[in-house]
Amino acid sequence: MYQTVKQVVQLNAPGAEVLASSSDVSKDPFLYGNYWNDRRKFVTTWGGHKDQNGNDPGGRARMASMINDGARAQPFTVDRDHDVGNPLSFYLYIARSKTHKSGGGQIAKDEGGHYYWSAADSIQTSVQMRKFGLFGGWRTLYSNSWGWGGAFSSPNESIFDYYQNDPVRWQGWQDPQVNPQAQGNSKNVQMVSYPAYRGAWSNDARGMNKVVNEDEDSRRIPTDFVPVPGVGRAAEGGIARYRDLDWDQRMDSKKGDMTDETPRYVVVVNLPKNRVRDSVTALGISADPSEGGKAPSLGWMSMRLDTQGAKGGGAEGVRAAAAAQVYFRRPSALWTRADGLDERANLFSPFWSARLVDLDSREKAYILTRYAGVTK
Amino acid sequence: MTRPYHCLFLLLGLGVSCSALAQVAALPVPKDSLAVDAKGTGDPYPRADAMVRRNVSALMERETGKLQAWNPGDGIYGMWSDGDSTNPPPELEKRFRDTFERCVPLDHAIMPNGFQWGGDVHDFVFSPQAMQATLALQGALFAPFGSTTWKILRYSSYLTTKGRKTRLQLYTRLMWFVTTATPTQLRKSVIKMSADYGYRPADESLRKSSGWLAGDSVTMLSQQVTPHVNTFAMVTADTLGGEDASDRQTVPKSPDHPAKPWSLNCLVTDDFAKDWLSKVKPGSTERWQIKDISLGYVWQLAVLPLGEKTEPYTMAHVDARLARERNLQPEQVAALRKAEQKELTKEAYRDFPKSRARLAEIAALHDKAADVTDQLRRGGYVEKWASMTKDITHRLGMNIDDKIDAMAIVIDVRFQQTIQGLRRAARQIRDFLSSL
Repeated sequence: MYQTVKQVVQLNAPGAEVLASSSDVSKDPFLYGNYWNDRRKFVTTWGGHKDQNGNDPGGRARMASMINDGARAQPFTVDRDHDVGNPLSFYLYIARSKTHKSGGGQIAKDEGGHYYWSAADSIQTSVQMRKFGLFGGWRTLYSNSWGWGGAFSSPNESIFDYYQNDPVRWQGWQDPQVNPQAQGNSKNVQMVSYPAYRGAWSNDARGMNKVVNEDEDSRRIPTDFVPVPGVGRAAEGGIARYRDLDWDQRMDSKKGDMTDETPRYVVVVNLPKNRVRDSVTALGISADPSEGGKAPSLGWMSMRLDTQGAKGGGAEGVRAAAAAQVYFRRPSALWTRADGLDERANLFSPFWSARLVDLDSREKAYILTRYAGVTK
Repeated sequence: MTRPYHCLFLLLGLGVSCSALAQVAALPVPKDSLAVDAKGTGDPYPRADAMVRRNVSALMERETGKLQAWNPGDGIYGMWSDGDSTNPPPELEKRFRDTFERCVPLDHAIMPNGFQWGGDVHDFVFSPQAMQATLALQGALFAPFGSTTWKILRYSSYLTTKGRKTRLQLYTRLMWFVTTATPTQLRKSVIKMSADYGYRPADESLRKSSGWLAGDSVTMLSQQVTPHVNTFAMVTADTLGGEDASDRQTVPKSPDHPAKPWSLNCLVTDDFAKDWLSKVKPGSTERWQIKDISLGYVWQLAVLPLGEKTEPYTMAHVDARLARERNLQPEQVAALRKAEQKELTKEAYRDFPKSRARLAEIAALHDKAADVTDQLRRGGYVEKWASMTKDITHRLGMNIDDKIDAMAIVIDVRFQQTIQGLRRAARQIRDFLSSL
């Protein structure tokens, strides 16, 4: 990061020197410490051993709602519930054929309170005809479904039950969720119900039954043989660790969005006197013949920076300080969430940008004391 | 890719089979097999064959603008679309309902523009009079529905695809009947009687599938007239009980007897049927009642308007095709038809570079997939999997190394099978392309 800062400074002011930045501990431990402490507090580890019991609100619930809602909210994820067009669907007034694809993926708690990834998809097709030609009801001649699915299960829970069409247990599943516009504390946690696999059970129960039955058939061999590789998450309670913002601690409605509190990156730059672009170096205008001035009559236009004299205070150059931070804004015009809500800052969505910000009073005081050169 | 299209064409009676790229035992196809000779002046089939061929090609090339209609003047839109139902003529069902409520003969029903009633039952799926006689010999009634003579309703529709109108045109003929035959009785008779016209059952593979729900009550037929011209037909009948909730809503009710959905006198009007129904049922002391009667229809779909004028030509073409097969064994007949379908498929690909390029691309993708799988296998995937799985199981306190080793062998064999299968498919596609 320090190299990037140096490069940006050099591009904008050739010859300038980076006196201090938030990423160089040897030059300024204070700025460095501020930034990295803020950053450490801002992003934290969720899931895995940090959240072994999966107690909510916690990392699992957070990840689950980001993925489940995110999948619905992101226009760039593929819709998995739709009609299939020509030639699998056609309509001839007397006869018609319809093919529909159902299904979805989700991360949801099973009965034991463990979160699991699972996905199921089915496709159903039917051919119908009118009982009496140009009038009468439709009669189904042919109807069939096909289904497939997969789950992220752990070896010590070798049997994973898909969220099945049991009206008591699995018709939908519930999950704690925090409204993306609300304050991120446990008071605002509410239980939200979701239909399993985006309602695929109600769209195509026959296809979903095939998913469950065929999975049971295929599972028989590996489970009493060897655990399938890649599912060794038992120690992590079903979900691997991941990094995200420490939203539960930091979301405070009085301070506005969490994004306004992201760590501040401060840079202090020094430009040596002889590299400062004044009227002589930049425009070649000088009133002083000893400096090669050709037009004494234009002396009134001359702007010289005198850092050597009494007014200069003894500093070697011109110094500047600036601060920047990253912020999160989901541009609703381009990437509207399906639920129409604003989205709080998170590391699942890519809508991060950088901006310049004012130095705050603490930083101003510190930089004036340390770098203004007055006390040097 | 192309297969679903082919299946759709078969269903629409447009004549290309689902057996594209199928492996066919080598059997010499007569050289002139794909040619269509005119069977006299006025034979419409050479033109129809050429038109279907162009339309199949236009669909294969996804150029709906190049579709041609038999007679652009006489089709209607809204009866045929490639997706969910579009808006059918809304007055159609109302017209039928009005007709039943007023108890006028069915063929007096005033139909929307584009629908015509007629008495021309030539070049149909079977002769209704012959069917009546056949079923009467079996003790079952077969009679016109709602009229005193056999009537056919005809219309022609154009395909609407993705909301856009096209010129892909189908001629539809509908004939309604009442019968007391059982579904199986009717199906057997229909197959037998329509065979005289060169129709063959087209629903055998569907009926073998677990998803088939209609039993014997529906019979689908197809009649191959020329290599490209297939005429599709369907015969079905359903009881008039009105037990079904959907029927109670959609089937018109008699104004005299609101509780009874149908009035026997209005629906069965010819003398033969009335006489039949006034008698006592055999093996019973009861009279025939409305619940004993099934209402059925014959649905014929063709690419050109059929009738008295076309019948001699249709029969001449069908006879010529059947004559070829007369002295062959059933397996030979099947092989000959399959070989001919393959020639048709080749012909379709031969003229159309876009479709050929798509196939070549698919072959290349198969090869690429085989290469990647091969690399994965040679890169030691199975060994890595085995050591990883052993590590996991050791940490879980299990010792099943021997089972893991056995599984690794199985996985390696599956890798090899996958690679071989992909290469074989790529080779078959290339062989097909080079045989064009």
